[in-house]
Amino acid sequence: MNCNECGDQLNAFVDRELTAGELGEVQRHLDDCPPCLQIFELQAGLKRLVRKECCQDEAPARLRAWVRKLPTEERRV
Amino acid sequence: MTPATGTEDRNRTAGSRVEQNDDFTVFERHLDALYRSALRLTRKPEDAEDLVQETYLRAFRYRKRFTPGTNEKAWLFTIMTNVFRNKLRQRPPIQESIDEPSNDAYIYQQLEREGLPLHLMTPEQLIVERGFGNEVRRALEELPVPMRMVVILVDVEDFSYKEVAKILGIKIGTVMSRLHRGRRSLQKKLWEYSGRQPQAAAIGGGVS
Ligand SMILES: [Zn+2]
Repeated sequence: MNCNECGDQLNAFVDRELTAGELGEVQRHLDDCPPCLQIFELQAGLKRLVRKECCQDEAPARLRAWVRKLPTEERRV
Repeated sequence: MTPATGTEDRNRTAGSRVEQNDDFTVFERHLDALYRSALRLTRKPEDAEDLVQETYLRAFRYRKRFTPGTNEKAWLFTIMTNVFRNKLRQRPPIQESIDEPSNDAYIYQQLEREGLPLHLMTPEQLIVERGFGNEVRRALEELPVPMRMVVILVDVEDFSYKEVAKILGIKIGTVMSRLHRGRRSLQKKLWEYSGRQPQAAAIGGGVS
């Protein structure tokens, strides 16, 4: 596997969307290629960051109460 | 949704089937997920609340179409993304553009041009300690809707490419290309929001 092929697979690698065989190939390339490893770490770090930042938002209590009451309210209609 | 065809399902009596479909608490479990994604899509808390309410109203009204035991989170997100796209269609179209760098290592290249010793830093140090963290939500909200949806569903909600394709009614290849473009653009936006100017390449390609 060369760097271009590795780059093409990197998103799917970060998202754990590759088959075991494909995964092994990318992993072997990353083990031997510091520049690609660095891009992988950046991509994986960004993914973790997006998740962490967005998961801080929680639904307001008012909305939760509305959802809980919904079945009772709707059946009354 | 398509009805289940498993024997287990067929053996169930009609009565218990209705009861199971009537249990709405399984849907409430995903409220925080729906709300945080609605917030990224609409960008405004009041609009996000409206979107989530409409999603739950529809989910409740069409609850008998949901097959118990299948992925209820995916089902709810299918409803929400459809409601959202319908709302967008009712508004005057907004011109959305994507400013997408040509490779996946934009932030690294920029830092390198500032002369930083990258090999001494972990990605978290690079991203969080250098002030990119606070701007993530804003950067995400500025991506064009098709790319934003895919990044949210994959990165925040942890859906597989296949699930995202089904939720949005697009091909897996389209999911992948939108994700790829969205992530590149996100890097560039994060860089810009962290108060930095793009650094011109030392040799060629740059504008000074
Ligand atoms: Zn390489």
